[in-house]
Amino acid sequence: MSRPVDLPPTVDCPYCLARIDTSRARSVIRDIATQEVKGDVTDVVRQHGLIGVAPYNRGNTYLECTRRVRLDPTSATGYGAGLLDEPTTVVVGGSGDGEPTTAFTGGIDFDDPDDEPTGSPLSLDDDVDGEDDGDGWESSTGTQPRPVLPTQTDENELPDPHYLPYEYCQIRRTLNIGLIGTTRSGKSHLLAAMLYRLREEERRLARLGVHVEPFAEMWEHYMQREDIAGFLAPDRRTALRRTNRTDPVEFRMAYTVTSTWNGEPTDCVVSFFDVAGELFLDAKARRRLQFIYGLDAYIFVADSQALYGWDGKRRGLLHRSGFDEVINQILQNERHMAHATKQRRETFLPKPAVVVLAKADLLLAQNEYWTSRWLERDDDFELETVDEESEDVYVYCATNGAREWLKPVSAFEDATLHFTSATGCEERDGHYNKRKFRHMRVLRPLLALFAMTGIIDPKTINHAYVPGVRDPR
Amino acid sequence: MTEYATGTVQEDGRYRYSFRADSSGGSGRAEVLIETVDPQLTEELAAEAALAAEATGAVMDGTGGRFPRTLAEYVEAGTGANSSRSTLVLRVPRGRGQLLYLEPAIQDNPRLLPVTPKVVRKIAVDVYEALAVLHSVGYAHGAVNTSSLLWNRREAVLARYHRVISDPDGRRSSIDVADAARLLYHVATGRPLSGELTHSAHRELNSRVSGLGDLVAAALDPPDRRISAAEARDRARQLVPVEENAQSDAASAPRREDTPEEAAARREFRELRVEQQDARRRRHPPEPLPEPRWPTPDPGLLKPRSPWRVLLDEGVGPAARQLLDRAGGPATRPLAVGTAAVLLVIILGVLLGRML
Ligand SMILES: Nc1nc2c(ncn2[C@@H]2O[C@H](COP(=O)(O)OP(=O)(O)O)[C@@H](O)[C@H]2O)c(=O)[nH]1
Ligand SMILES: [Mg+2]
Ligand SMILES: [Zn+2]
Repeated sequence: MSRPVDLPPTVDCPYCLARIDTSRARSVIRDIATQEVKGDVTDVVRQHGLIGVAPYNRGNTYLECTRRVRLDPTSATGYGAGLLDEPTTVVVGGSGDGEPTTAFTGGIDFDDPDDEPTGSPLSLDDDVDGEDDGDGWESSTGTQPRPVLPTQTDENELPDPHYLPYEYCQIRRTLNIGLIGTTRSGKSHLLAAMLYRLREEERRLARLGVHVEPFAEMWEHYMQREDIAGFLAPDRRTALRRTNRTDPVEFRMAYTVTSTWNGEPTDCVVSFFDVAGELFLDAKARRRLQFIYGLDAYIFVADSQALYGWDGKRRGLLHRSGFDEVINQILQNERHMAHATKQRRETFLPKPAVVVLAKADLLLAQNEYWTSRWLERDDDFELETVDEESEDVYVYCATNGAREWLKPVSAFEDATLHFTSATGCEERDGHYNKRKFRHMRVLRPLLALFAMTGIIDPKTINHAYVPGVRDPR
Repeated sequence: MTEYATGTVQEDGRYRYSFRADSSGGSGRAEVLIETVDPQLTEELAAEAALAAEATGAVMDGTGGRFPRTLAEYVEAGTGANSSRSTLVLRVPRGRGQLLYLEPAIQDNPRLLPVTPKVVRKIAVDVYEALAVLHSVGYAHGAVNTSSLLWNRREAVLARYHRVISDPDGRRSSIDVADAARLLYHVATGRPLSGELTHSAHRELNSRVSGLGDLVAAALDPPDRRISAAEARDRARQLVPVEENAQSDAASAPRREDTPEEAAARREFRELRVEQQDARRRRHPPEPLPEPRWPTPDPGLLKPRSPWRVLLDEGVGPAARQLLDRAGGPATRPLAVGTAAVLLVIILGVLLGRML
């Protein structure tokens, strides 16, 4: 059997982490909307490569990862398979799916913090900026999107087969980023805002020495989702649907990032994984979560809404973040790997992580000092203050009952912390107030992560000894 | 004098600055009185007055009697109590009546910086405007910095003359243009610019006032490529302050002292930071090894080294292991340790024998 002319002999599956023999794997076309397989193009691809597929179908062509094509059958379930046999204490924090928590019923109406008049003698007096703030809710006719429910046999298993975008398999350098956090912590909203802003900021990104382009047709695929289109449309601003437990574990979106700061332009495909948060707290779902071990960088999403108590200080978290569970799994996996390869285990996990305090607009509305110092800055690209911010966020969490959120800092080799808001305001009945809606600093954590992986110059955040973009396999 | 005062009295250790209504009666103008604190500086101030008179005259001639608002005008202090040689009087626009020199104000309260993007833009336009006028009549200013700059809540005024010099070939004027750029960097970021404008500093400026980084970069170009004050002024007018609301709020959110608990958390974070960095350094050493990388030769082609060579190069353990390897069979750990011990005893014996 010959392998497709435009693929390497083997490809690593980012979902089950097995190595795929490309001469044995099928190539198929999937339906954009339903994601169902609707055609087999294996033969034509083996003869001609992707060129042999009709242009309009190339973005819908996938390589099938199934037991039969995985090179090392023992690793078919991934490195972490052994973990399943180990007694791991997993605390399953409250269901988390119930009513939206109402942590902010403090009684004081913080709706619009006044524009504090600056008493500075170095201010400019003669222009008065009328800050209009239409509080009215504009009703939108956008309907709540209906979730697409794929049929699935066992929701705890990584489905077999699963599919890798064909064009992804052609790439040598990849950087897989995963969003970690419990249900409703704000992962999907943050990701949508991040991905959107990444597209919008071409010029300022260029100044950092990176060029960013949606990978293959993934942006179109991503925007196919009605709720995402509604969220990103300025005249709609509808809420995203809940990420379903049974949603396929596939990366949501990928960008081809060309990094030029280091001389030679280097291409790298950066992909983003976003799965249902409850999976992180569920020991039974481990098999679906193999991918977390293969990630190159982590975005830990902490739900600001989980902080309770307010009299100038918070007293704790309403629900667990799940960070502990995930980090413990990754640590265990790392231990197994070190054992298997007889390598010394590092004290820190040899990857970077960011901790994002999502929905920080809620903290700002409470006039919290640490948040007000940062959240309203338009400083996504002022990366020299990343460490200063990280320090403040750390101090904030440590002194407000949220130490649990700091776990990634002591577990990972490099970490930064950020206040962000994907929406700038709270959702009501599936909508956001269009006038208050704004993405606040959503790109900053991602850029910090880029700096910690060497995609942009680590010096921009004053970090040293950064590994650089992963070497091609 | 207090009844005329339109600003607080400022002092910088060398000079005292006070402000009063314009003695000529113009309501839109105010007068700045500069006096020496240190009597030793009287001469210098007198010299400055002469330079101010000369430059002011040149501007008057050059512009046909109109005087730019962004440059202080020399006032003959011939009458009254302040006619002494130790006072220099300058006329400036009154603005909102709260006049102050930047440098002593900043020294009193460092939090005045960075100023808001709108103020940065205004300072840029005004300073380059003042320089453009001064340069056009053949003078260079020579001391464009926060000590020379006066702010009245509406405009910035270049209001010192101690370094003014005739500059027919424009060489010194070009230095003014660069000095103004450094001044802008300082007020926009709150930090003086040390050395060159780095890439990230350039970006930082642009993110506060769109175009400012580019303007400052052009004003700091090597003299042969540097823009003129007039060009700089025209570019300054095109600057767009970036989202003033977010910026000014952030800039003015005062930083409070850490509580002891917070200070402890901060220390903890910094310690973690150091540990992380150490871990990274171990994994990714700073420089690629300086020694040349030889292609690894096929071990079969290598002449086996004698155990003594190995001993010399690598120490007892490896030598012992090699000895055992040669003897056949894999070098198990206890065996290797035993052999190492034997070797060590032999070496010590030889050494002792030699010494005795
Ligand atoms: N106030 C506020 N609410 C947010 C923000 N981001 C998300 N939310 C709300 O948090 C809930 C869960 O968000 P989602 O992104 O689906 O969480 P996920 O389960 O982690 O993917 C939704 O009701 C959102 O309206 C934010 O930045 N600010
Ligand atoms: Mg989600
Ligand atoms: Zn797979």
